[in-house]
Amino acid sequence: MIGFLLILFVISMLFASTTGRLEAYVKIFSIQGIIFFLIILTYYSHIPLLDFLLLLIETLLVKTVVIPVILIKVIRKNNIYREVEPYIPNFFSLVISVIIFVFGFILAYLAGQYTQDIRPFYFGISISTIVVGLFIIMSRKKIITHIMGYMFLENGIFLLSLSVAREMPLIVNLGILLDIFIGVFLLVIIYNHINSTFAREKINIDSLSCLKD
Amino acid sequence: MHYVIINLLFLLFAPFLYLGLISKVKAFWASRKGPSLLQPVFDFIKLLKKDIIAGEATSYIFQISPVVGFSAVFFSGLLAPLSWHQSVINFEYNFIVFSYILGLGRFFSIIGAMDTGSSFEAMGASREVTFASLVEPGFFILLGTLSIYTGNNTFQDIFNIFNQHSGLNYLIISLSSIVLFILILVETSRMPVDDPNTHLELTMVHEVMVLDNSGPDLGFIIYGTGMKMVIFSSLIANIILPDNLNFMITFLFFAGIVAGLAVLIGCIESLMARLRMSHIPQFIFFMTAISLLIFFIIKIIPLGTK
Repeated sequence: MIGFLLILFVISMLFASTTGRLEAYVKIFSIQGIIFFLIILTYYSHIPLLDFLLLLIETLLVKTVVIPVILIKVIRKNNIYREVEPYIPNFFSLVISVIIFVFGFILAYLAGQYTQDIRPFYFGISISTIVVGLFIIMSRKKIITHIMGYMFLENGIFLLSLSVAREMPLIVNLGILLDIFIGVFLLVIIYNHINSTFAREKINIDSLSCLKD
Repeated sequence: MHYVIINLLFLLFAPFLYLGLISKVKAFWASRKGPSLLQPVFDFIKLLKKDIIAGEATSYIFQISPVVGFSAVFFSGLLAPLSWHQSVINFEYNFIVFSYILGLGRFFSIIGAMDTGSSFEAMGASREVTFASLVEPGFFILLGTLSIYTGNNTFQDIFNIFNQHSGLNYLIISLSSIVLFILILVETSRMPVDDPNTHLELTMVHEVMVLDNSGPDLGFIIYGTGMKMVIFSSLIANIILPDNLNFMITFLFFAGIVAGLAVLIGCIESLMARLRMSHIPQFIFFMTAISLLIFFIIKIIPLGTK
């Protein structure tokens, strides 16, 4: 069962690296929230009740509903054009993410042979999700996609905390989520301000590089 | 022995019904009555009665290419496992022969298209080669993975994975079905990759390559495409079906799954738009990505449960 969910997660990440639509990112993020919710449900007997409830609320409410709604609002309000505008063609970004996943799995395979403390499948997927999130930040022009890459990265950290649950208590993830939440909030506010300052429809990081003191 | 006979009959007659079923489903979505299920048979007979017209620029390659193409498909059908996990011709590592015989058929259809000297057909041929080269790694990774997983090395045995009920098996079965389904759509040029109905040359892949063929040649090309679809659908059916059911039930389930896939393809053709030409490579590469995923799953999941 968890295998199915994790595979769905990987496929959603691969889709995220190849899709051309901005709102598809938001939908993928929402779907990943549901996937995490279902994964957490299977953890019922392993973690304290309070943590369990907090995680359920976090995944189902914050990840699945609140953040996507905020992002959709930002996209609609600022009239952001629906294309993602990557620096490299989508095909190559899919190829690169596949390569990242392959290396992540090889790493997990090696790690699984030498230690019993981690779950290799979780480990590989989470490490490669973090790197794919970084890659999405690097290879896209728009600031809004940087926020989304940041959130994919956070999803990877969430999975990593599940894979090494013995060392890294799940509650740590709550702190991370809070940071991310505030981060998204700040970025959204800054984004709105940048937009009203520059007063043009299309902003990307190229227009930021011409800023001076 | 009756396995072989029924499989041969299935291979020869199912393509017509398969194509008929697809057009019936498309007619259903368009609220039409649609042609009868046997319409492809009548079309085939009609085409057989016609003469072949070859362009003045063509050489003998244009004339032999449909023959080679069809016989390659038919021979690969003999190698592929059909009902009861039985292929008609069975030897070790025959899945490699299967893939390259299909490749031979494709090669001849490509040089046949280029032989006409039409720039449109050359463009279609170039697209066909691009897509075929993207499909091949995914297909081989999948077959190699299944071969490692089951420990068998013949085409009919590597699909025997549904013997025990375990989560890993279900996972591999569902992912492999997705891979093979994308393979059907690409290999036979169906909807998200290529529109079989359009005759706008700029967007065609497979249709544009057979623009010059006529009469019996065209009939055999269409028949061969249908047969290819039946062969790949029966690969999916082989993955899904367990091998311990009784004789009649297995065949019924097998035929049912193949028919269900025809219905699915019909639904996709009616409900989806064709992908933009620049988006097709990443759609096909997705297949390779999923096959790689299957490979790592069979390596890594057993490690975690140890």
